[in-house]
Amino acid sequence: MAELRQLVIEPKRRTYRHVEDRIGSRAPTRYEEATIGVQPTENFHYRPLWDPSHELYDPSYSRLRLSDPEAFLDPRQFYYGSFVMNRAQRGESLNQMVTLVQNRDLVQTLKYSWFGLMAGVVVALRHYEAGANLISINAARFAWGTPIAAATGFAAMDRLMNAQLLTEGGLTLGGKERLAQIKLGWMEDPTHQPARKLIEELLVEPDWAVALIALDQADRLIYPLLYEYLETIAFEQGVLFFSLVAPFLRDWYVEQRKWIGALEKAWRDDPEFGEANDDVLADIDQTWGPAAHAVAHALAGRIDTLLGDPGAYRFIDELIKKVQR
Amino acid sequence: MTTTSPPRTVSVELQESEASGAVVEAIERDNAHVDISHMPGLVRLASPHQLVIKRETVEAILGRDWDTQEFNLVIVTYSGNIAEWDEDQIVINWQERRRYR
Amino acid sequence: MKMKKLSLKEQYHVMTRDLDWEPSYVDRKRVYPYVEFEGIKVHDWEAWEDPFRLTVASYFKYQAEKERRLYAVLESFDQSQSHLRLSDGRYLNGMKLFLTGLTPVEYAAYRHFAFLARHLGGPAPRFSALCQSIDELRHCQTQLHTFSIFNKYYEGFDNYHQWGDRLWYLAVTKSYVEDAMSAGPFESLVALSFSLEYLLTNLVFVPFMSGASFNGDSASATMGFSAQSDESRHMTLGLEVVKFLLEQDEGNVPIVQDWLDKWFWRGYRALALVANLMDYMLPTPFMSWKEGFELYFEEQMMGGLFPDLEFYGLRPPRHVDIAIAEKEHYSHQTNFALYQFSHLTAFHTWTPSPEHLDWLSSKYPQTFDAVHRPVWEKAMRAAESGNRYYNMGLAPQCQVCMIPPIFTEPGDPTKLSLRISEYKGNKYVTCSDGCKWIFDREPEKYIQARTPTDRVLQGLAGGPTIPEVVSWFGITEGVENRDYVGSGDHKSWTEWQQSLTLAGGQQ
Repeated sequence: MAELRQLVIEPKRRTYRHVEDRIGSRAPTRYEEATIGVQPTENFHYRPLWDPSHELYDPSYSRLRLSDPEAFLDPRQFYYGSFVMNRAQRGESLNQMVTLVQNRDLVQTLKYSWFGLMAGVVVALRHYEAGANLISINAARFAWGTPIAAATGFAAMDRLMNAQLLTEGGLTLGGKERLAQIKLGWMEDPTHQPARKLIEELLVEPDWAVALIALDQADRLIYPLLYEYLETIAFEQGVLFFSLVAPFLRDWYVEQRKWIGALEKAWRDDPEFGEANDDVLADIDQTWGPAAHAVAHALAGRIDTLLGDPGAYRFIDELIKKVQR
Repeated sequence: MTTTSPPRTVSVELQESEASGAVVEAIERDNAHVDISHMPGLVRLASPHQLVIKRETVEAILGRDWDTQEFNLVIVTYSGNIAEWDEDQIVINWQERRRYR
Repeated sequence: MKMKKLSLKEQYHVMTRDLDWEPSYVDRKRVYPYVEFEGIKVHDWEAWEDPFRLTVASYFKYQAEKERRLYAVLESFDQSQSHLRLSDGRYLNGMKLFLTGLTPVEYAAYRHFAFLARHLGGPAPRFSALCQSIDELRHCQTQLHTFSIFNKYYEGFDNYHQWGDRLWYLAVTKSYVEDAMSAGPFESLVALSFSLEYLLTNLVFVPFMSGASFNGDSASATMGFSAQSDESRHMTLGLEVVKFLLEQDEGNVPIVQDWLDKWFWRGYRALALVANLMDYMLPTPFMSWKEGFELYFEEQMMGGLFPDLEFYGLRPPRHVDIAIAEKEHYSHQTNFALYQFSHLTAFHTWTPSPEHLDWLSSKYPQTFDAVHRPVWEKAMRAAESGNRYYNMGLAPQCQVCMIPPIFTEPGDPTKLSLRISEYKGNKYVTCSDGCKWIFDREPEKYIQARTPTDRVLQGLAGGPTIPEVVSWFGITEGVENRDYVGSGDHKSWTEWQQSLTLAGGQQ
């Protein structure tokens, strides 16, 4: 048998030129290689028929700008492969919990108030997540540069995943008929009108980044409210129907904030546009902050009514003070 | 009076792999006139009018549960319409659709 | 009480359609502002059908499995230096064309389907578009990772970004996809989903993937097959778009017909690069352009799909007869153009070997020996005498498809096909009846395009001399460009193959 030989060949280079220009002579990560320098940047042939005031790729689709589009890189280093593999793995664990909840018929253990919380508060936000999906995928089209476009595209899939998880919860609460009732609540119940109004208005906000950050403002209240405050009480009271699955959404939110937080920091720290970006972010606070607060207060109010305790409302007031810039 | 036109060929091309072996066999069992051909890495199955892939048949061959959605892992391309895809079967044919308006 | 399990169909409905709602705080027309301006009428978005009916969770599950398998192959190919087992060093020039020409199209599709995932008027097509959007990112990124393997050892891969934005022949694919991106949502669906992903898809993917297989490139072949499983969803979307639009309103039929006419032709012209690859750039060829066109287009589409679409009032595309007439000459004329301008290409070209000329004769028995063989034999004699032919002139480019006028009139291979349109006092060159028809229909759109040749003439391409233009293109003289023979790639390949032989060969 012939000996297995390897020919020793010195590579001429490690990676693509744009990647090397940024990272130097070390080996790139798969993320870097598939993200840096990918988006076309010049010589676009036609302007969009549906928006001739812009080029096909155009940094001026938003007032928030980066002088170096790759100053922001996803701290999670998600390229397509690592993203779907991560989500598939999480999905497997989640599926086990969901199956457990369903096979053990844990819906039967829900007391009236908890049933009301699940159906009337938590699951109704499946529509909020569906709206968040549209806001995120819009950003994926109009962002300048692949780092932001990819992160928002993945976020869009995540939001729909969340919406479908909540939908599964709704089915467990009582099938299609229950979902129909819950949808009616989304459309008409005062608890959900601030959220529905916010989403609809963000869908017509022309600046993709403003809409993304305004949405994030609402997330930063809703997620802690439901998946920390409410989840803690559920856990203490042994409401397994919720607390077996809630950590999945809480963990997702923590990870989501990692990249959005890094993006906000990149905007603020930008050597050329940092000050202007600061002004825009302050403007978003002013313009959309009250709407985000209204969403959280409405949800908190319903939670307190059902639990007979003013804790949620207080929690939101504290949180609003904390996240104020 | 009706004129009959010759049956139009429906086909699927699958990756030639261990994963697709059972599917190929199932298609052969459940479809009367299947024509099989090979190209590097690919197996093509063609049939006049219609091809059906049945979960039960695949499971019987594989000896384990099989989700029809696993078909996503082996399909490369197809010619025809996917007329149905549910938990029990996938049906590909050339069919005329009712005009909506 | 145990939960009643929903059928796949019911599950799909609650997981997709039912998430949507009718807005009341803002006008629906403001939420979906682009669905009416093209004149398309949709009366019921619920009629949209998606047989795949994936949930996001199942999407992740199956796509993750595909990625795991693919990356295992890529890593193995890389670690075992399998590039040394390619059929020949010339082969990789086809993959340079893939990376620089096709990968940017995948990227553009990723960004554009994101637009459709936001702006189509119904939740079901928006979801299909969402999945396609990140599928296309998948294709782009897996291609970048696959070609990264070759980039380490060979020239013509590393500066793909700049080449893609600036090179004259890559304007063919760049302008194609930017034309689609700048169009309205329904036209872009006909352009990308129907025309490219259904009508012409096999003519794009089979050549590259089978070409890879036949030439020892299991990395690209595996990547291609893996991508193809996503393509079956994209094909389905493409066919569904057309049937949906045609069924929604009779008034849509002539609009869709016009788009079909335009996008068949634009897609067909972009495929000149593929024809060139199939017939000239694969050291081990597997199928000629003519064979591929006859099977995948004439037989499967003209003979299969279009009789089906006739039911809806759609006829085969305008100018199909020209494409059929051109099939004898398409690849030869394209490759010879690239050959003579190869001082300006970021990949190598070469004169075909005598064996390859014979293969071409056998595939084009009526025309090759009479029309094209003499051209190659002349080029071979020039190269052998040390005067390898480079055309130092500057060719105009078609204002629509960006290809220089290199094709001949159907039925007269001695006469170049060239058309002129006059608009607002200016003259615009197109290459054919097909492109002229496209230009005349939307002149305001096409006068925006600045062909790379125009750019050079207007002094916007680095300078007036060829070396300055080469530099502006991002090409390093003598490295990526010119003939394969004597190139760095050729020297590397020869040296490594010799070392393998001396080492006792690879088992």
